[in-house]
Amino acid sequence: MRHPNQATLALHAGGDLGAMARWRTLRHLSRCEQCRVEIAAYERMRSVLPDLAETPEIPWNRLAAEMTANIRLGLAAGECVRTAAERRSPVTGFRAAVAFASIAALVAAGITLERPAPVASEAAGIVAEATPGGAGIQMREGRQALLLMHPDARSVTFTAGAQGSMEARYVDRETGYITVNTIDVD
Amino acid sequence: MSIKGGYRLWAVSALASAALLAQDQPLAPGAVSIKFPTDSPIALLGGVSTGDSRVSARGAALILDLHLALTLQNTSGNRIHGLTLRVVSQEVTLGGKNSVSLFGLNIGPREAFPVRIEMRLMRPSQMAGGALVDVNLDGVLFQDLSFWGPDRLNSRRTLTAWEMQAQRDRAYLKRVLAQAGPEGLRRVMIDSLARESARPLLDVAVLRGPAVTSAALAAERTEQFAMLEFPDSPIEALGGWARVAGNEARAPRIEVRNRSAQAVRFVELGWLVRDPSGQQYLAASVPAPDALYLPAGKTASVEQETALRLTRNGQQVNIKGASAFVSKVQFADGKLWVPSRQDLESTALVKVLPPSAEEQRLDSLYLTKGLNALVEELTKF
Repeated sequence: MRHPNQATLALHAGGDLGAMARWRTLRHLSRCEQCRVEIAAYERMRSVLPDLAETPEIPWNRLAAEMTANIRLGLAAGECVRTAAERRSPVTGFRAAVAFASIAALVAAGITLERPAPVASEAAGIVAEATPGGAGIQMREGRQALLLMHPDARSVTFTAGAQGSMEARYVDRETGYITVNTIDVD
Repeated sequence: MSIKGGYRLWAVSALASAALLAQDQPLAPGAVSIKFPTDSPIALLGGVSTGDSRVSARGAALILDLHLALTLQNTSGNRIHGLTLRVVSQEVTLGGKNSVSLFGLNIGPREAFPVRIEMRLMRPSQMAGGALVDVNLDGVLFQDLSFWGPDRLNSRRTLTAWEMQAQRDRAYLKRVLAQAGPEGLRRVMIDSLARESARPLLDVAVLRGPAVTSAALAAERTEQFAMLEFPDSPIEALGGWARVAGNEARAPRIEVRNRSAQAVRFVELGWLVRDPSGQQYLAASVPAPDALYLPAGKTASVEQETALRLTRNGQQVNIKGASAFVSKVQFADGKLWVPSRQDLESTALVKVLPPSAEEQRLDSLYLTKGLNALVEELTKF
């Protein structure tokens, strides 16, 4: 299953997606528990964003006030130099018709190309495994993961447990002791 | 929405994004909690070094890199041979039972020893306040096989089994030394290292959750286990099967019978698989559930609902056969049985199974410090 990217999920959580993207995201969410959890996490994060303004090391409020003032200054300057001709409506005339036609063609091509493909096999639930680079063992579920690493270890012995565990055993180069890292999703 | 309101929203969003991107900072004090009970046989010496541990934001994910160095002291009057620390992160909601065990120790009373824990947590949203990682003691095994600890991870059984394998392998090497001298011991160590480098390895992923089907896999079939028997095993493996499709195997089920005179409360089997070329690999251990109680003469089924996905060097390893053997038995009185050296060698399992923890330690000692250091080490036990 192809998941929407993080930006799409974040925008959706804030209600900032366009109509087509919102429709596609809702359709995905209706059958993806993992992304619904992500959306909920973003919504929780949005609720704590005001607290970031309280970070003592960075004067966020002052920065925000300065940026707002600069934006207002820019808008005021723009109003001063705008001519009557520039105030003509942008949605009339031949050029606008061509632009709308192009956008419609682009949307149609996008829908055609993005037609739902056969769903690829993907692990559901929790996975316990050695990390692909061999630097540790991990359990992961969706976009969450916990890794126990064995940096600088040589001759690591990995053993899986059918109850849902993974074990990495190695000799610590500094101490000479056997160290056994175990993750167990049971 | 008014233009004024829109710009406010834009400014807040920009500032929030900047704040998230800027969160790459050292670990806050209190992010790691290490607690040992007051009557614990080990104590934490000095503070906890978190080195260059950091919390950072990568896009929408938050990552905690933890590099923890502790110095522990044996405060008991007994020599410590092994211990297990439980490592818990409440922040990673998938939970799990994670641990770091040290084995091959020979720590006398009042002696100190180092422990390192290297871990990484990833999650997609803000972390709450409080400790991100809790480290506590699950158990300590002493030289006389006595044990101290809450044992929530069954560390007593695990550490005791390792100790029994260690005693078995040290006794074997001491016999070799006594009968064939240092040169005989050297040959055995070279054989052990050669066997380990030639041992076929698999990459195994254990999947726990809803069954996964894939059009890329062959149709699922039932694969019967061939049973490897040890004459002195208190448990007889009667037969069993697993569901197999391509390189995935799931839901192993093995019938066992207690042929000893004592009740058994734990059984673990080793699960071997064979690829189309006939090469055998150790796929996984198959432990019985914790609630097992098997009186003398009775049978029970050892089964798990997980799936294994097998690869080697990134390529699927299709399963053409499976076999199993009894690898660990715990009686109701807590005593353990593990296969003897003769059991392993008589079934050629010694070529397929990894070395015991102690054999791995002694191999490393021989490689790094030589034969004399190995002989000296054997005399310490």
